[in-house]
Amino acid sequence: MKATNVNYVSYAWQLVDLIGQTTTQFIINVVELVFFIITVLRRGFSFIRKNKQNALIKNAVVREIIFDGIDSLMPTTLVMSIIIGFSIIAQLIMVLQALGSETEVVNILISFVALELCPLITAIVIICRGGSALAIVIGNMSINQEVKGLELLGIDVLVYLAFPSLLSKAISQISLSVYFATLSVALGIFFSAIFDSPSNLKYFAILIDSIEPMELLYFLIKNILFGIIIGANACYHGLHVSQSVTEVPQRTQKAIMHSMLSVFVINALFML
Amino acid sequence: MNDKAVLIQAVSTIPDLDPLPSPAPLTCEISAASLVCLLGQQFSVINAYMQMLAGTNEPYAGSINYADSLLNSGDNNDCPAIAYLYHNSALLSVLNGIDNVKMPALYHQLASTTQIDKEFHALVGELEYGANHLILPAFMSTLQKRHLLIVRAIMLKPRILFIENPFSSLDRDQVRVFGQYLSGLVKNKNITVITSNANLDFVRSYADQMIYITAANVHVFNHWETFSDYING
Repeated sequence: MKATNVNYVSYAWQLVDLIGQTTTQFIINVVELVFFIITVLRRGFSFIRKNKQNALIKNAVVREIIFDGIDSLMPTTLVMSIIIGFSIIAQLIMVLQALGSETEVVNILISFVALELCPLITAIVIICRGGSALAIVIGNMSINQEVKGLELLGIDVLVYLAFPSLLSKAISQISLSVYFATLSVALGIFFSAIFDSPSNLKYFAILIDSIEPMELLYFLIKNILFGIIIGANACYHGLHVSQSVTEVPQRTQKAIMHSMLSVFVINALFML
Repeated sequence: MNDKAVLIQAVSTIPDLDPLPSPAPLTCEISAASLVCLLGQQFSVINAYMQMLAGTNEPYAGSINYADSLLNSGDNNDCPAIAYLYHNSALLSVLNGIDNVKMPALYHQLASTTQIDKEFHALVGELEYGANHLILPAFMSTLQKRHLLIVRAIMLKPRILFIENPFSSLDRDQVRVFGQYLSGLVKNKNITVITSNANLDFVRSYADQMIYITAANVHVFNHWETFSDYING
């Protein structure tokens, strides 16, 4: 009986130990990531300020925006907007109309769908599409000594590789989020008008009048943070690949999971 | 060779090797616009001496003095005066050959885009082998990749170029062509080229200084004949 009690106590301590280690590691990761972001932004903006004529970084940002933003605009985001518009928003409008007033429907469409759900889905699309690809590319560059080669040429890797990624992810996140929110809500109203009642088209006019400037500001800040955190996680983990090819998928998984977690945590913080 | 300015002076230097096979100390002077070859049988040890001379690794013992011209590399201090190419150095896999070469020069804003473009064509044209530089490095031959790595480094106008194992994976003709190209860098551009494990034909034809590294000793030779006599016993 005594031995069993000792075992239970031992297991409990092991559990406490595990929770403690995991929490400590999580805090260390968060602190390192925040420092990484601050360093990248500080060095990047300082480089741009010193080299105003230098088009290299601007071109890199544009190139990444094309990959993350424009290339995923038509196929991925358009299809997602149609699906969300049809499967969630149209049904939500139909259900809410039966339960509440016009104002409540509009409030839920703005605060839940346009300002919460759409940025989250856009962030997930960017994490899966651009974030994972970026972590793999930078991870492979690290293994092939390409990053070391850049450093030997006096090139700051954080400025040349990470800074454009952070900026482009932030810009892509904002623009895709606006595009996705507008399209999915518009399609949702349109589908609800087709399947329920044509009078639902009135929500177009009410919606536009109901959006508050402060809500738009929060939307903008939240999307910028989402973009920066996605780019930072991808670059941070990609640059931490050292020698083995097996590190690339491991680091990519970490980049994806940490990006997802960070995005949900930031979203939760904005709700406070 | 003696009338040329000394760029690097090593006094009883020992590289920091892990695990330590207690390498011998190196004392030598490396002059401007000379071609120096580090030779021996232990590649890792020779490359450790190279990295120590280049300043990428701190010496375990002894001291290395660099000429003032290397330490103050002109207007742009971010631009290194010493270029170092590892045996596994690689071009950026996401950029084509031309962008790979021009990118560091554009980053450091050494000249206008048009001038950098002209410089690129002039430098690339020095080694004629009919290569397409608009392709990604994955599709390039070893010679083309190595050539572009050197051109990329030279675009930043270094005073010294260190190259580890420059002739590995090259066939006989490519070794000859590449050897001529490296000696041309010394003669025409006044760059000091320091290589490790060079081909002996290349050493005989072009080297100004040979540093022979064995487990017990480091010997510095300024003439092929003395080096050859030493090797042949």
